Amino acid sequence: MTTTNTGQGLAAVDADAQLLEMRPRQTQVQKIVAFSRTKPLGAISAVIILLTILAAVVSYAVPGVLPHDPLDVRAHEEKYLPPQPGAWLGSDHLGRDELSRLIAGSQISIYVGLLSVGIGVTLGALIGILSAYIGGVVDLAIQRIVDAMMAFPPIILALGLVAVLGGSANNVIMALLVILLPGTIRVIRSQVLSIKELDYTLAATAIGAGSIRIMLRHILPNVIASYIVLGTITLGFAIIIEASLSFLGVGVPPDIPTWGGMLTRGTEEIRIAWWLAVFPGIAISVVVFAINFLGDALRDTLDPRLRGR
Amino acid sequence: MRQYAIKRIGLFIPTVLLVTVIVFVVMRLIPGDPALAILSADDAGYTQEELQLLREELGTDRPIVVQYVEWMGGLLRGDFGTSYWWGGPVMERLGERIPVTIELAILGIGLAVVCAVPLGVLSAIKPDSPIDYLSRIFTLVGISIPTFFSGILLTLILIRAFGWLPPLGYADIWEDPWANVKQLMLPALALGFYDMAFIARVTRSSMMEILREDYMRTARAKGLAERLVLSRHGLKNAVLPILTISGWQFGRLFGGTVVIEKIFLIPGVGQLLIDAVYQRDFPTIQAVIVIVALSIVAINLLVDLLYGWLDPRIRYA
Repeated sequence: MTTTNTGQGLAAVDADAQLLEMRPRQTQVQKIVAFSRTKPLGAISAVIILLTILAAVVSYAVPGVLPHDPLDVRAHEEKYLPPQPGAWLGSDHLGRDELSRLIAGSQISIYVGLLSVGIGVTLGALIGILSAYIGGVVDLAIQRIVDAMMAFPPIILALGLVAVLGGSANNVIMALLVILLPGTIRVIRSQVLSIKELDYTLAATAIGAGSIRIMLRHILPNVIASYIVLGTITLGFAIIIEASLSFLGVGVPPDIPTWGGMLTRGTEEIRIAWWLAVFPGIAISVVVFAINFLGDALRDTLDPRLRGR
Repeated sequence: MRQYAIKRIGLFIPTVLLVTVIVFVVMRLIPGDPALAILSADDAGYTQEELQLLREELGTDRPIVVQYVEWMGGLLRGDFGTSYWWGGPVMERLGERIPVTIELAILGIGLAVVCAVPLGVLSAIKPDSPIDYLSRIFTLVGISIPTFFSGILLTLILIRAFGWLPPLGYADIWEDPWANVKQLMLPALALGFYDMAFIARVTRSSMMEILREDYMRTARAKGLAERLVLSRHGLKNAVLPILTISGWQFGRLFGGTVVIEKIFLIPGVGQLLIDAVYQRDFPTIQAVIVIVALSIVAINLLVDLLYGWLDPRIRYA
């Protein structure tokens, strides 16, 4: 009897393996093509984001690639030049070139955004996994702190932290880390709580796998999708917070061109020079819009469980 | 209900304590010695005696725990200490600013709910209609535009299209209510724009879920007019998530007021906070942050309690 049973079991496994082989494995390129087909807006958004990152990197790395020096007050003869050929987005109150400043402004947004999200979401995911896996008093303590942190409106907390730390790009990143952590910890923790109860985790425990092995080999790969989605969504948020701080004049020092800082001037001069307020605002909105769109598309594709968040 | 309320309030107290500890640690410990900061702000220089005297005056020479307990005691009495900036009690100026910001926030969330709920309902009962598409595009744009840019855009549209802009600044509501409302309408709209989009999305999805429920079919089957089916059986059930989200958004709105008050030159708590950051006036920053965070914790508690009271399923879960 026992032998027959094993035989049937093996046959079933063979059939499964054949089924798996019949469906060809998708290469990375094929996956991207499939994604672009099902989520065209998501793919366009990804292109917009990549172009922005490219603009930031190239304008930083290659000197002289911008039409004018973004800090040069003699870029144009006239102040408040409306958009026209040669000065495609006009000139500001000092005669600086708005287009060059806009491209240079992407550097801070991308630098602060990518770094704060990269560190913040990674750290948050690790703490979330530990909190859920260890459970007990540690989990309770971390969750109470997360609850308390969530009570602070992001901008207000950021203002307080920047006041304490002083205004600089790296301090803005520090402030953003503090702001991004609680939300990430909460989302990842709730995912791990359910993964912890799944059969494969129990099976791993049963065969005697250690805690670290379970966390790294069995839990971590299963939260990667949420990690990517969270990273995308919080990137838009981080860019908005940085722009808001620069707009309020407390983030990055005012002599560095930033989209938020350019908007401040634009608001003050809104009656005489509409372009100074409109273009940086559009730049922020388009990038954030693209990030939100890509985030939604990635979420639907990678992790439908997160839908409705 | 009583048990549920006790449980919620039990969670509320440690959160309140932790919020105050976080604010205290961040604002009092990280910046280092406030006495040194004040003295070195002047270029005139200072002696060790002056430094010691100022430390005693500010109370920063005593142990941290004593300082915290003292600060908490002041907090309970509504005393937030003395401002480094103008030298008077922090509460003096804060007290004037709080009603302004509360009025702005209530107007903002009010406008958002009044516009968002009908939009969300219309969009849900006619899915894939032109109204639904317009509303979905509007909401996606709405949640992507940062608060400060929606404020600027609204101003710009008024100037370019109508050549008119309500006077910036602030008129007291008790002295000149009409001027007050005229001035606050535009900032409130800009402030509530994001929330309008967000609440409309929640209303739509919550309404669509309820439209599929069995009791909706029963209501129709017994011959109830469609209007009544939608209002009595549909919206009444959809209101719960909308209420929760609006409560949470109300807290988030306080963050938005900082930026909106700066754009529209409204003398609220947000302006005070920014000015205090420029002046490095830590007692004022500390007071504003703790008041805002505690209000949000309190609002969340109220929303939770209201939710439990309205929906028995929550209480017994």
